[in-house]
Amino acid sequence: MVITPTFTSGFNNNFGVNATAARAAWIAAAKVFTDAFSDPIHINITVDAVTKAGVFGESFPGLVSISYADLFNQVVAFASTKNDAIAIGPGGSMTATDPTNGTGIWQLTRAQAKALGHIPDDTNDDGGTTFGVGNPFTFSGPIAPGTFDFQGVCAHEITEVMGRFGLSGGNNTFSLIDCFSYTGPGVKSLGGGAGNFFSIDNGVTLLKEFNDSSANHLDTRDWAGGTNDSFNQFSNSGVVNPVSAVDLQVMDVIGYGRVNAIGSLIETVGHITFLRAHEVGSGFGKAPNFLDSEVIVELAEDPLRAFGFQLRADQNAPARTDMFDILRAAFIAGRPVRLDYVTIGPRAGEIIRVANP
Amino acid sequence: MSNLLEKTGKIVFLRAHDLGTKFGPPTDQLDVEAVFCLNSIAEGAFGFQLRNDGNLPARQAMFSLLRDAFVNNLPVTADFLIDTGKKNGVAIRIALIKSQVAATHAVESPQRISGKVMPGPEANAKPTIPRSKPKPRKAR
Repeated sequence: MVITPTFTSGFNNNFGVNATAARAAWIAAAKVFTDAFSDPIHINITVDAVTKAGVFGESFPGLVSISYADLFNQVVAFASTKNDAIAIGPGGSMTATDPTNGTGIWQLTRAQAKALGHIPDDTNDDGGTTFGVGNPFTFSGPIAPGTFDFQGVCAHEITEVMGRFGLSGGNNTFSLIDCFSYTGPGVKSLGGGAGNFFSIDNGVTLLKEFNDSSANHLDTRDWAGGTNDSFNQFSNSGVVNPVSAVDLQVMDVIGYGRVNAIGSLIETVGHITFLRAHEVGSGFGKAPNFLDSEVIVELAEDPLRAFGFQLRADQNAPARTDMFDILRAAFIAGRPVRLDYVTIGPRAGEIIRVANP
Repeated sequence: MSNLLEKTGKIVFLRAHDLGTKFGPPTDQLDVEAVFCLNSIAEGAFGFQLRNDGNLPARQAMFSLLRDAFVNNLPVTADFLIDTGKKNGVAIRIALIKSQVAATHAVESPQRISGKVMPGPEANAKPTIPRSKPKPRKAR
């Protein structure tokens, strides 16, 4: 994942002598997410600064529409982490049925739509972040008393462009993060308000409380407060506001993950839980994870992915028959196997080598 | 009319035979070379052709899985096509399935980078400033 800022002349001019440090802080904030996630996309953000009073940090995400059925399918197709597995699993917060019963309009931010394969990757502008230069910021090093952690503010606004952005029923529109808002077990709260918590397991575990937008008319999906955190609605001064574990959990389930570019050569090791052979042309899975293979393997250590190779009457038949025999032996013995595969989808790989670990 | 069904069970009968020998009575006959029965069905068998054609490697692999299941007394899952009212079906997929505990997680969780020290708020951490409300752009 590449996050590319375009700093405006207003950013450079208005921050003046602090412009270099402010740019570095913004880039450092973005790096937190490019280090955490590997989706093969480019996120392009315009970064501005203004002298206008009352502006602290703002975001302007570009949005694209999606049907709920497509949203669910893309979230499932691009699931790549343990959090995703919980979210799309039987007790997860993502349901195949539209929680608005078909009455709501669903939208993704452009960046998020690229991560979920809803629109192609591109270098077009995905949105903007704007900061008010009149605030006392610390741009690097220890946060001085009475000043605000600028990198934390940047992380806050960057992630809103990435999709951490509650539409929550405004103009009857909803965003993916709204699907993870609960007031209790099984009680989804798409619209925001008091007692809304982030949960990936259908409200059983309430991970952190969202801001009460009904009380302050601010963001529905910022955090209410508590521990200093870059995703808080209100930013404390004199402290570091980090990107926390639960923050990354949010970004994980709203579309970002460990997804390798199509065509990547990856190695994985694990114990076989599923080994199948089938007739030519039967295939396995559905787009974008369809495997046009005759042998299918799944591993306990990589449960969201499936791997396969063709076993046809061609020049590869002898080698692939031996690859298959290694898989069989590993399965029967309950021993791990090492697979080298080329990614053909976010959750599918074509095996080119099979070996013992 | 053929239906695609799935059945899981242990193999109680496994046979390979010469081309054209076939299996079953004339009214419910399988023109196949590999035949197997599962303990989970009271009547009926499954089979597939094992001939020198484009499907040979895949079907040899299917047969290998049946052999593994039979030798090791493991359950096997078969997807098969069967005509309404018939008891014998044509297997098109053979799978071995077992629960295994993951030794390690091949997929690194993003949470692994979360081990940062969370500094506590300073005594004079106020004032707090509300962030400006984000303004969505017009939907494209």
